[in-house]
Amino acid sequence: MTMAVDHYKVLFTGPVGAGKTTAIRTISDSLPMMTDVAATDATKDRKSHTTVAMDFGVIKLGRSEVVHLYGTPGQERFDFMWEILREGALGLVVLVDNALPDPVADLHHFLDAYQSFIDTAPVVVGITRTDVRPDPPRSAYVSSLAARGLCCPVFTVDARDHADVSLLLQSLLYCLDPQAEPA
Amino acid sequence: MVHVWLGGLDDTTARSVRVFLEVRHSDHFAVTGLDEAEVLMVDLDRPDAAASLGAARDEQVVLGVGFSDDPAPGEWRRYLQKPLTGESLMAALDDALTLVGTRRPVVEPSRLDRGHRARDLFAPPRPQAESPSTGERRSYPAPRTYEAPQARTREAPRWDAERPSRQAPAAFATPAGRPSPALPVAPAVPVGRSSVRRLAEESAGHHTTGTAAEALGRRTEVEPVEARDGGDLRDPGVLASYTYSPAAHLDGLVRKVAAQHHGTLWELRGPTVTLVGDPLDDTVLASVSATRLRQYCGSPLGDGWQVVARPRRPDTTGLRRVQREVLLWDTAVWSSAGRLADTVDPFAVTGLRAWPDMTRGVLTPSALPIVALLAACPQRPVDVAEKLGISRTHVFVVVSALEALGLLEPLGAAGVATEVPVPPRAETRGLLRRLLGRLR
Repeated sequence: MTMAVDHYKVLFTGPVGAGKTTAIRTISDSLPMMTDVAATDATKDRKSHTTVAMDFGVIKLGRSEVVHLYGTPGQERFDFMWEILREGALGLVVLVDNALPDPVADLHHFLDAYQSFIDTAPVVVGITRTDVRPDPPRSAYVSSLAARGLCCPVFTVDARDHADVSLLLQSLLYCLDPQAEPA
Repeated sequence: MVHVWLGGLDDTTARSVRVFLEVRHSDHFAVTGLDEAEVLMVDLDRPDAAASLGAARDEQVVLGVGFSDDPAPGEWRRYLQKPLTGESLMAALDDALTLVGTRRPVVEPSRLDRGHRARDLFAPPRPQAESPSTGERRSYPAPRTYEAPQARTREAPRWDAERPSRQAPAAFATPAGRPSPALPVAPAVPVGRSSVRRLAEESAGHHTTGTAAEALGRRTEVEPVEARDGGDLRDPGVLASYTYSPAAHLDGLVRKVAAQHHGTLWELRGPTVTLVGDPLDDTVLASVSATRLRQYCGSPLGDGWQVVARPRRPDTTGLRRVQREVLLWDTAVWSSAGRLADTVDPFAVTGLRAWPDMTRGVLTPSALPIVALLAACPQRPVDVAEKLGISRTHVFVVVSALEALGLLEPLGAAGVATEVPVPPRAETRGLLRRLLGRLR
């Protein structure tokens, strides 16, 4: 599968169950295409279905102009998809599940995987499920990112909430161009 | 924007009404907490309906919903019969708005509105979807022509440009960099039950749909900040009119107490409010709602604020838990009201150590691009407005809030501002503009 470079797209990545599918569903204009199947591996303890290829949603800007939203599979065996998806992307949204045992390490795992991409494109971090488990605090992510030399938006988000996902995306766009004025 | 509180509605109804108001009519309505609501919508068929109304204020309009053959049963002058329809709901809200004095422009209904108004929101699908009154043309507001937020009749008075300056008197003013005078210390006593009960009443029904976003303190709209740009800030008189002293306001007091008691439980008690800082999860327990807390930020604090020595961990029932950084951000926004904290040098190049959590604090106009600019390239606060083409006061309120969180990194008057990053190519810029417009 090849992807045209001139497609505008935003990538969502993060561990299984962090809310990528939900976030894309929340912000998409039309019902996004999901490629979830019943989970059969270690994932099944966390969610009944998991994404085996990718999530795909669109935000319509006009009659023909759309922005594509791609959610990448969380399991490591689908790493090959990342290279394909990241080509031509505006930026990267990393969603991290705060209820997992070591979410800060999870964040760095995905940042490492996308390091060459985030060298040239903005990244934003959404921390989900802080209502389930508030620890580690947001400051732990911020400090950890600072140690990596990254000063990027790190927001606590509810992937089901349109306002939260929208703010996360807006911050990504303003990282690209702080002087951008909404049309 | 009209704020509606949903009380005692079952989850399905509450979700449906919320979707109807916030998706289909998102430009005009927002479902909020009880304190911010102008209109209360209460299910009278629920046994706890009366209790839901216990904390209603005089200026709030109550809209009863229930099953009854009587179009206005008992005391319920404004009453909606079940099953609800989009049309009856809008008509009732229009009526309620008239009562609260909110002016709404009358325009032709949109295509979506016309198609939707005869639909029964909550009854099972029926073959006859047409309402008997479909021939009557109802008028609904169109998003593009709706009044700007500053036209709200319930505008908080502190945004009123005609109000006299609320600058701290000399007795309160604390020079930048100097600590404010020590606070009196009171003996430890449990947080008053009356305040707990009051908050429990105030916050009843706040989390109608129970999403995590709400539980974590979801903001619902952009806080209006008066746009003001006149005068040369190098003139001390002009500068004074654009600054405030956090040391004399609640944001500075909370910041100071939290810093002094870092890692330990602290309790700050005011005339009718108690704040307890919990180091375990870096939160603050507040005995009053955000709306009440905001009232303390409008002017310099007077006497009657005490730090409680060796406080005991309070019973959290009815207390509102908020992240410390969110509380600091919010109180700074409210205290600043578009003014710059006097601890910030407006002419010193300033960078940003980290982004704040902008999904939880009060959002102000252009807050995202301001933070993005400072994060990308250190600037003098006085230059940010010009570089972004926005009002000076919109910059100052954000910079003051960032200062309250300790996120500013001043490089000193001799610091060199970094050039704004090269914007993306024109084609991409156009897309960003359209996408931002779409997401707002």
